[in-house]
Amino acid sequence: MSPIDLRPDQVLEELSGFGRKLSHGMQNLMTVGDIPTGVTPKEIIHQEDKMVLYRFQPPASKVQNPVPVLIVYALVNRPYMTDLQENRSTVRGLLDAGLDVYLIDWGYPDRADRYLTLDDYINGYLDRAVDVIRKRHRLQAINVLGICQGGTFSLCYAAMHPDKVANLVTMVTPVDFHTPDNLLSKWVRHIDADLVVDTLGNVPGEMLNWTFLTLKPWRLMGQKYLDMVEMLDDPKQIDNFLRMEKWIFDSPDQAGEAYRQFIKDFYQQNRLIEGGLKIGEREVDLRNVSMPVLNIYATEDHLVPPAASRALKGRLGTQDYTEQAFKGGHIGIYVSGRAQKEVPPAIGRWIDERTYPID
Amino acid sequence: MPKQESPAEAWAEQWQQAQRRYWDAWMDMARETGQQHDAAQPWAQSLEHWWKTMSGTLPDSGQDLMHHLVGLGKAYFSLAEGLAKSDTPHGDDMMGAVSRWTEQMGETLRNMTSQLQQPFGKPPGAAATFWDLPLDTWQRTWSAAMPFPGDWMKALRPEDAGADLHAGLERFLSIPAVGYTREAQEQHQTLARLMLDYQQALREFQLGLSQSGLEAVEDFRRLLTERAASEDAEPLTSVRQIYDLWVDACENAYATYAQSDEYAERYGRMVNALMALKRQGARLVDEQLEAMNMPTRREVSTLQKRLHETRREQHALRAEIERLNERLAALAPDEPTVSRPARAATKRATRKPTPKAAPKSAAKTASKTAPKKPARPGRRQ
Repeated sequence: MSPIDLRPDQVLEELSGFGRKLSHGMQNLMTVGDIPTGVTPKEIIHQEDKMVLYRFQPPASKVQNPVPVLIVYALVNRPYMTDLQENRSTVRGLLDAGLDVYLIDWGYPDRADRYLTLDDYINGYLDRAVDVIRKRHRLQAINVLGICQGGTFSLCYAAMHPDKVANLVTMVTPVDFHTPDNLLSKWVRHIDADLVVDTLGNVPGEMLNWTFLTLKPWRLMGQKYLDMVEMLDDPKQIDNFLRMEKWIFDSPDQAGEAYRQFIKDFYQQNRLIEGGLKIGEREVDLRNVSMPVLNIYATEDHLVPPAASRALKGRLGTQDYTEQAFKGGHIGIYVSGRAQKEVPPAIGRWIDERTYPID
Repeated sequence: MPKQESPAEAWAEQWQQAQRRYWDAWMDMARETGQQHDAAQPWAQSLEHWWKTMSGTLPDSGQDLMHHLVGLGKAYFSLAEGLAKSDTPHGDDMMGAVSRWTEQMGETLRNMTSQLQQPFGKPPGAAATFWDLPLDTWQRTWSAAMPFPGDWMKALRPEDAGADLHAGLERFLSIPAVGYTREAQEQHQTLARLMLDYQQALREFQLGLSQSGLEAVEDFRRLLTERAASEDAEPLTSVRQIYDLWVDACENAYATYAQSDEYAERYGRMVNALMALKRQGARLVDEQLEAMNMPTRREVSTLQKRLHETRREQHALRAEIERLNERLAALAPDEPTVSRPARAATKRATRKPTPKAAPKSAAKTASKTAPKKPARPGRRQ
């Protein structure tokens, strides 16, 4: 049997259809205005340099958990991924689950921020943001939800300041940076991080974009856009696509010193689990993470492979460790329809159980 | 009254009519002569023409996306046109067209590999462009990171400039540096040497990609053969399905290669070589700025570093003062009465002065202790 059953006139029809969609799509693109992101109303609680601490407006109808949760996002990409649009918002889901949600926006570092270290980010900005929330709510400890690199930061923070973290949730968080399927980790092994930072100062977001795209170049730089042509008839789908594109390529530059340490200590030397990691003057020992931990990973994650996240198990000082798999990818865990139904409610339930213990 | 067509609608209509005319003419000719035609992808060209005419009418937000889509559309059309140049209209002959296209792709990649193995051969473009996607994006990404503004490196690409430039560079590098300008000459020789290192590293990376491309061609053939042999597999019934299978093959081959130590080593060499080149360029720019009595990058970095260290000290002092204030507040006799559990949870929030006032006073005290930075009362950080 021939593996192809296709006539030239079918090819014609396909090409015509493609051209038709492209030209009609262009008319739809002409009407595209600004693409709004970060849809849930929020107020600024605290600002320091380029870092902003937001509190999201909770729905009046919900009885709130008295212990707020602070979302710590990665330095790479922007945190509005957690609140992308009305029907795709982890933040909205957490509010609906009765949580009082705060979020740190790290901002866009420029050359003046080139000497910011991981110590500045974790023991500085993050710690002071936690203190602000603790004071507002008159609490000794709050809940922390770390996402991706922000999850790694949160783990480090919880290990260094366990008294300030009531419960820790990590989402798609790299812990073991040397799992065999971790392409990013393999690629940076031979990069001279000192030379990169000493040369560039801050590391351009474009460089990180290129790296992420080359994980699957033909799918991410080619096939995806052909799929897009199929959607061009629908202005709503164009909006959704452009919103995601905006986020993907909205990559802040990385403060040089923080990048240097993250690449060397985490990606190259895997010190978070091998030991010997110091942030500033403090040693990071995961056995000091004594609070309950919920670790959520994505089974199809090509940026943070599941094994890299699951390595957390057995390395913590807490006995209350829960692991949850989400069937999807690194981005789908925030924006897919299934994620909206599964992830925030699960986090809400898990935190509630630990806020109102059953005697 | 008939509805008025917008310019975009009018152009869309015209373009589709042009496509239809092209196709009719092409089919007529094929029927009459029974021969294949070598017209250089007029369909893809018509798309390019249409885009050039229309692109100015799009808002900025849609420009980039549409540009990308049109670029991919051209690649996609090229594949489709290659397949459509089949004399007889069905089944095995279309398979023959796919085989010819695959063979052509393999031949291009073999040429590219062979050229890249030569010291300064010119890699072929055309079909290799598809396989060059990661590298092309790399070069676009880094065009702004070159030592000097503009597309400076492009002019120095050996495949563009030919062997003469390379020979000239080699001669330049072999001149011993002497005399009053010795140091400057050495600096420029170092820059030229680093540039050649980067070109070499870039070619090695590209060579790895093209060799992996050959694997993709073989993988594509294998996928088709397996599909032919399988009783369960449905035949491919669209160009898009063929394209998707080709993308699968490319990604599989690339994923295998990208996992290898060789890829990581070549990737590392390419990045490191570019960084070394750019650093040397920055040194030269700094020298020029210094000569003009302008602030250099080096000097600005030193200032930034000192300022940062001062700010860190300031934060540490402020935190220390806050801790001391808390202890003082805890000792104060007029402290408000708070129940023991609540006090444990809230002692920092309820101290006097108020939480908002504390940082201000801390800032004032900190500024006294840190003489390098003048006090700015009432302002945090």
